[in-house]
Amino acid sequence: MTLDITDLKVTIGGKEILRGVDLSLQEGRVHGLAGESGSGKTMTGLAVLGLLPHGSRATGSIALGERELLTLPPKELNRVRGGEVAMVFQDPATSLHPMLTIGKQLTEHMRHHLGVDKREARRRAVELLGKVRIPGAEEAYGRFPHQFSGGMRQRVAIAIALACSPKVLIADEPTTALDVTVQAGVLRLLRGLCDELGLAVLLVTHDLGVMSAVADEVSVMKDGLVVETGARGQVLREPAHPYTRSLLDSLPDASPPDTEPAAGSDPAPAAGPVGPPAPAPRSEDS
Amino acid sequence: MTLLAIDDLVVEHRSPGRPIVRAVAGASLSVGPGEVVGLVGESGCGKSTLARAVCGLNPVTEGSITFDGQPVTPLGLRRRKLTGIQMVFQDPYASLNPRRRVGDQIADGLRTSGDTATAPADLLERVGLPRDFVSRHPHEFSGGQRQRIAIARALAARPRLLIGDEPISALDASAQSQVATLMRDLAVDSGAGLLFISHDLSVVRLIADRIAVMYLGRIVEVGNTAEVWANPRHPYTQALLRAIPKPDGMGVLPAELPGDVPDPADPPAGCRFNPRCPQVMDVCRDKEPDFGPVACWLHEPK
Repeated sequence: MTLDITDLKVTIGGKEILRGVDLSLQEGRVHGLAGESGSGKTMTGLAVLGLLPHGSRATGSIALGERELLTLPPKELNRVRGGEVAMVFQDPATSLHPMLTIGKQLTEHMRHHLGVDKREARRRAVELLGKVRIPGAEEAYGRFPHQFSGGMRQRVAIAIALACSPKVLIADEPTTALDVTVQAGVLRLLRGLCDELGLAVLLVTHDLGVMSAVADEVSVMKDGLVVETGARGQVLREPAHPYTRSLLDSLPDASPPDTEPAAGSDPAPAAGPVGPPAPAPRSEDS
Repeated sequence: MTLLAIDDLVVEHRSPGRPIVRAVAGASLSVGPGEVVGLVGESGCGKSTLARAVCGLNPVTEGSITFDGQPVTPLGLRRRKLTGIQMVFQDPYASLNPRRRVGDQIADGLRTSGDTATAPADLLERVGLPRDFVSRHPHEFSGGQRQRIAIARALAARPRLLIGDEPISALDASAQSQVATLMRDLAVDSGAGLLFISHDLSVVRLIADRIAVMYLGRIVEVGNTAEVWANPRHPYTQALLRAIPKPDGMGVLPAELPGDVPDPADPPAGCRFNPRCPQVMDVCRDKEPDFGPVACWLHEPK
């Protein structure tokens, strides 16, 4: 199933946070969403799940297959949320409930959404823990979040998100709170699950290295607008928009060509002032 | 002449009903005046404990810490004479007093150093904030601005050694390298040493003269930043550097280091890295390599 976001606008307290975002997620593909903090990356993710803060208004369209999520009645949205669209948050230390065993957290929504009995839910949960490569899945089922390390907790959070076999996974900075070595494991896991289960993943991250490692398509956001969308190799190697270029140039690893980030003085390429980009090329270059 | 010398430091955490945890297990490190040393390692490797011990916030079990030839004593309730070491903490939302104006908090630092010539506003200016922010409260600032204020407060005491314990990890990505570079510039300009602790290797690389890599309470490799980056010798350093994904658009998944960091309460025998090391040899399981600059049997000094 695909998720299409078209002309999504979000205002909070009269302030426009998103000013017309277009994104399209495909089965089995990871779509990366990059941009500085405050550019609206997280808001885009939250809007899909209907988790926007109180007092915010969203217009435009978020279509999951045939259904329009923005106008869905709350009851139906609850069925989608956690069932068909799942989310992984940034900090596994706060996104898991500290006083419930991970088994409880893994089976609760499974029983609610899928209506399976206790034994079946447990069986599935243990299988999932194995899938996200938690050692000793049987014993892990009865443990509490504090008994796991950060990387393991994030794996548990991913397992919880995957429990109801969602079609779409929204991962908001899933590896930012982790060490690089652990990050490598979680990224491999995400990529593997995406390929194996045919998930459509929206990966929100500010780390262009992470983006380059797992994303198929990359969109770059700035001030509530998507300024560039394209295949990973094209956006990261031959950015068309000056803002993407400045992001790449500001990396410590930026290769020699332009030594100065040159704010604003870029010879602007022919294509690409701010505006809704043309439909993203779906070709893959690797 | 070294400013700070840490020699064979051991710091243990004792808590009732739990085994003793050796957070720092024999680490040696030195920082010279005007030198920036980056300390990197995974979470739970003891780098923060090391920093806290240097400030006197954690009691030392064994070994010694000397600052300017004087031993560092634990920080107690009495007024401390040693104000030459100042620390910038990880979370600027917690390290600033929410109920006092930032100018007053910076003035505390100035009073410690007996500095009557400088105004708090001058320090704000040095960290790149407008002078009239002195009368504001911490909640009026963003994370990056708060960390700048915390740096201004630490600098007000005219430290000769500045310690940053993950000072950038609570900040947004866009503010991280700015704040790190600011810390470096201010420390180097005032001739102070800087011990910069972070798990983010790319930032450490940007600002540090020397880099020290820590694993499970021990320093496994020390060296010139450029050299370590170009030619890491310890297998752990190699694994750390390989795990950083490169923004080259090639879609290469970073290399994974198998296993988790072992429990510091029960470290493996021999070299602490041996259960995860790809190049493990028999000697690694028996004897701990206690030499430098690369604590690995592959690089034993002749």
